[in-house]
Amino acid sequence: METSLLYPGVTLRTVREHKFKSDYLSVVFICSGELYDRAHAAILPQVLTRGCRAYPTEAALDGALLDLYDASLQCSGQTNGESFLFSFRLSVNEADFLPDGQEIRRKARDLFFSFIFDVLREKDGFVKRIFLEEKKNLLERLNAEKVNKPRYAVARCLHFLCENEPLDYQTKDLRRDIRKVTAKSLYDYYLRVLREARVEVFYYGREERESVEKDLKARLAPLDTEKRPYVRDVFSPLKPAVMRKTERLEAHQSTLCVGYKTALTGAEDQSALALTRELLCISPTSLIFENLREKQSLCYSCADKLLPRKGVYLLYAGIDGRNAKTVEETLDRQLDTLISGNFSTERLENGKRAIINALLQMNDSPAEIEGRCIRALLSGREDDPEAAKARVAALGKEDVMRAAASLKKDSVFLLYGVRKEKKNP
Amino acid sequence: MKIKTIHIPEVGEEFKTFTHPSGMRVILAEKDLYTGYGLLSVDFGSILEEYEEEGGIFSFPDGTAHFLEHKMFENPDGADTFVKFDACGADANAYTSTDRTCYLFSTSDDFCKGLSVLLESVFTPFFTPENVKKEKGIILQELKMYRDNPYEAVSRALISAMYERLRIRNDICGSIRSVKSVTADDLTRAYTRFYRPERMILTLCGRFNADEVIRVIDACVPAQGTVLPPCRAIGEKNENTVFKRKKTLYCGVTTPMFAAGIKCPAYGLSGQERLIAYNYMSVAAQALFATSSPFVSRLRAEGLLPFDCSDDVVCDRDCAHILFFAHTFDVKKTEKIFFEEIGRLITEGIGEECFERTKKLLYSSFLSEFNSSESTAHLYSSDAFDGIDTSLVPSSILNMTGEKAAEFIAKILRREAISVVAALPQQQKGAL
Repeated sequence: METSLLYPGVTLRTVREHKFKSDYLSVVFICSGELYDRAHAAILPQVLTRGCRAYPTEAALDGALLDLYDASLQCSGQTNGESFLFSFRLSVNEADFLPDGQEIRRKARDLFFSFIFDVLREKDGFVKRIFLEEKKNLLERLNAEKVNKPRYAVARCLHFLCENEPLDYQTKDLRRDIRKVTAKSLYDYYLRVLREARVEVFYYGREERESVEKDLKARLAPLDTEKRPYVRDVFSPLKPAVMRKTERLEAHQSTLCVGYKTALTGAEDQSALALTRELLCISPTSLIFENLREKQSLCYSCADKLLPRKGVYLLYAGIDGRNAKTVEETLDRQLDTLISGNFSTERLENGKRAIINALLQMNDSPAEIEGRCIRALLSGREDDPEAAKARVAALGKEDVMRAAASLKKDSVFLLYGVRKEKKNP
Repeated sequence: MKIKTIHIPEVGEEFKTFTHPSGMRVILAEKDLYTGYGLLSVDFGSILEEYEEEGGIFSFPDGTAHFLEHKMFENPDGADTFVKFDACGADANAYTSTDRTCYLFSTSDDFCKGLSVLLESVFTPFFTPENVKKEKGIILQELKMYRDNPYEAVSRALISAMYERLRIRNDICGSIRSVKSVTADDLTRAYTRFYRPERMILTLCGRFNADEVIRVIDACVPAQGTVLPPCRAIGEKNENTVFKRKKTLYCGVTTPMFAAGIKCPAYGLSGQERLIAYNYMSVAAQALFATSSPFVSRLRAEGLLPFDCSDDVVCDRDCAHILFFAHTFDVKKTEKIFFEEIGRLITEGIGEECFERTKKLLYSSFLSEFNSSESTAHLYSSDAFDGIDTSLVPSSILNMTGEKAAEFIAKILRREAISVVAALPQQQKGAL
């Protein structure tokens, strides 16, 4: 990967590669600190996706992309700890493989950048009709927060883990703040994002770096402005006592979430945490999978989530609510196994192999490379897959024991599934 | 063993294929990617849980194919197959669909070792009353997880409205009752009947040495036994008509949903005929359900769509249909617009622009399958499974004509071939 600075705070990363049939370009705006405005950020991608001045309806935009051999253009927003990432992504088929050999890359880029810079607006804001429709749609989507039960349970557990921190932004608050957003305030926010957010640009394809750089420097000239410094996430403090909450919801299955805090921060610490997760929960040979699922038949799926820059980690599993205590005890025992180092060298080495294998396989996906880069950058490091591999390879049992011991239980949330026809427990 | 090399010059790809002496079909696609991907597809999915063979009808409890999938990574010696995969840096998984069960692994490390672990596991069944009982608890939790997903319920309601007999209408995992009834003997019977090399396709894609992987296959796959007579799923009484035209469902959605399914006659088609049918079904799907289609544009203009909508085209050996799902603020109005647009399409036909765009879409979808080892392996495997010659896909798209598209669409857009489902929030039950 080659890196060059297009403008202050606007970095281009290119990988020249011939193994794919399409080329990939993304522009990612990293919004932190004052730009971390969840209400405006939530609605912005929906409004932008409705079209741009050259293609003022979704139908026109969809048609234009189909004409370019179904070029893929995506605009999405994603929270990442206490940052918000706006990503614009373009994927275009290589001319060599098209039946008419048509060179469509330039045309697709014209469309892509007019989509970013030449948005649909009227007077001093976004088009009001579109804005109001999308606001209504977003509020409707928020009403559906309980449809996906495990996701809802994780969100509730994160709320208890990070109460009153910037990350703790509940749906009711979001709903309240979205109501205050106007077509003008949203447009102003977008201009601020373009002007002030740090930008990462990724190119992955056959074009030579110099050519890509020249083209993108010209197209991204509007981003040549002074950028805000990136504001790092604040570590979430451990509660003096474990908080326990239960919420009842009509469902066939319950979800148990156990949240932990860790104070580990450095690159080596993160590698040790990655290995700990692998051994604890991620793989089908992990302790939780082996014990909770295969030996005790208490769940079908168990998963975890780490917010590395917040020091927050949580385990969650779909279970029968009546077994919640047994499940939590099993989770405790598996973590204790890692803390005590009571696991084989074979398990340790297999875990390391799995992580290194995953790091290598990321090289087959432009989007995965982009994700890896962004995660490193948000942690204050440059992406260096070789160094990451070396860090994992160097890990020993004591590193896992240390990382596991750093995980302190903070909050436990049970989403208790109840059926209407049955009495509540 | 004759190895054939198939070229796809339009997209600069090629693969090797042969039938192993065991009867298993093998596809080898060497690619310069870090990820090596192995996929073993077994011709046994949920629709074959009731089948016809030499005039007799045989059946297994619902969910048997899926149950078998859960048990295939256990070994008589107690060794965990996943630990063996771990030792060669491989990630492994499996899934069951209506028409097949697939076992897969991916690795950037020791590919041949990963392959031998996969093959040894699938060819070493181990079912005991104890391990079957243990698995029931896990599968019942899986069933409950799906039951909490209202989209599964909507999809199931639509398919069961369209199909009267074909087991596609049943849940792949089975029901709580059927899962509880599965025995080790059921699994042994199903395994013996369907897990035979001649009913399997092994597809390998990525960086490996072809001679080495063939040696692994030779060592791990048992010789062909007695060839059993062909069997077929119990099919529909009427291929051209849906079972029920309309269904209302109350489920866990918060915003109502409108779903529509168009049943297309496909039984008895050859692989190449199915490929052509799939292409023209895609034209119909684009004309009706693309973001740029008049139907979706009208829904958008009326402010009825809070979320993106989705569609799917399926043209399998036993069934073919086009599905559409949309959240909507007004199901009745959406249904009305849907049938108006169907009528308009029948009267006015599909425009040249839409037709040309669909060709580009199909070509692009095909091309993008070659961007990863995983998608390439699934493409080759599915095509082989369905009797499609992958090298003919580009020409099948480029040779499509507007006249044939119009003729095909006129044939499939009939009221008696369409089911619609209104999925409403549970709270509205009794309120209407």
